[in-house]
Amino acid sequence: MKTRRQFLSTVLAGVAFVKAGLLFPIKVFAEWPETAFSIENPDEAMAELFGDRAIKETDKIIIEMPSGAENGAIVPITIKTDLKNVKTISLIAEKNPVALLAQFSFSGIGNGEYLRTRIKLAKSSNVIVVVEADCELCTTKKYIEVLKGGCD
Amino acid sequence: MTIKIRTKTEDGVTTVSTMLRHPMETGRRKDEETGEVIPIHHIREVSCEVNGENVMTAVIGTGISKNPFFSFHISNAKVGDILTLTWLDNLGNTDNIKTAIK
Repeated sequence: MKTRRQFLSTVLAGVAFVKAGLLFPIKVFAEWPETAFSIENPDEAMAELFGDRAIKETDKIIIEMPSGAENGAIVPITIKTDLKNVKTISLIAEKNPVALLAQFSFSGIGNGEYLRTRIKLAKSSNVIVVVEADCELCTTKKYIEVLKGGCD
Repeated sequence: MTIKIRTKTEDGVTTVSTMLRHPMETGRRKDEETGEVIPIHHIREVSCEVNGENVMTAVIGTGISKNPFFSFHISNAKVGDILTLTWLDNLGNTDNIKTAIK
């Protein structure tokens, strides 16, 4: 049973969201890959994203991430790469309920050499980065210890 | 306005940093009082343009933290160029911001 305060706060939150924009999307920029965002297994997620294209290990992608995270709900991650003409960067968590975290696409004067964001991690595991660039598809991964899972 | 954005241009590279206010509910979390599952509610797409030309588009899922933060680079933009950033979520909510590149 919600208190009056909680009820009001929910209503106000709903109003804020309606006010923030339209109820119906005015445009879709990219087709949101629904299937890719429903897959738990990281290998299957990569197969869905990249088909049977070869993905090469590289040392030209640097993942900066703490070696341990107390709170898996907010894990900062920075990706830097020397690879030229980056088209997409995909972030995949090895042991999350959904493997694919996000895919970033760069065009025009957008430069995929640097990216920073914050991710949720369910447990101690690898974070896998796949970069699509002149190298075709290149990947690296980094392990992180997670104390408290952040995926619920 | 749900978007905070900062731009800084140095040696031909503009760093764009942005924070979007959004709960990014996974659809797995339970309300502590009622025990009911809080419905999935997350930003699906983020798009950034400079002078009307797309520079970055992201498709994101519930694995991005609450109040999503992103920082990325643009090359050879000019100070004063107009940058717009838009987000769209799974319920059809959207917001956008327009700023002059610093």
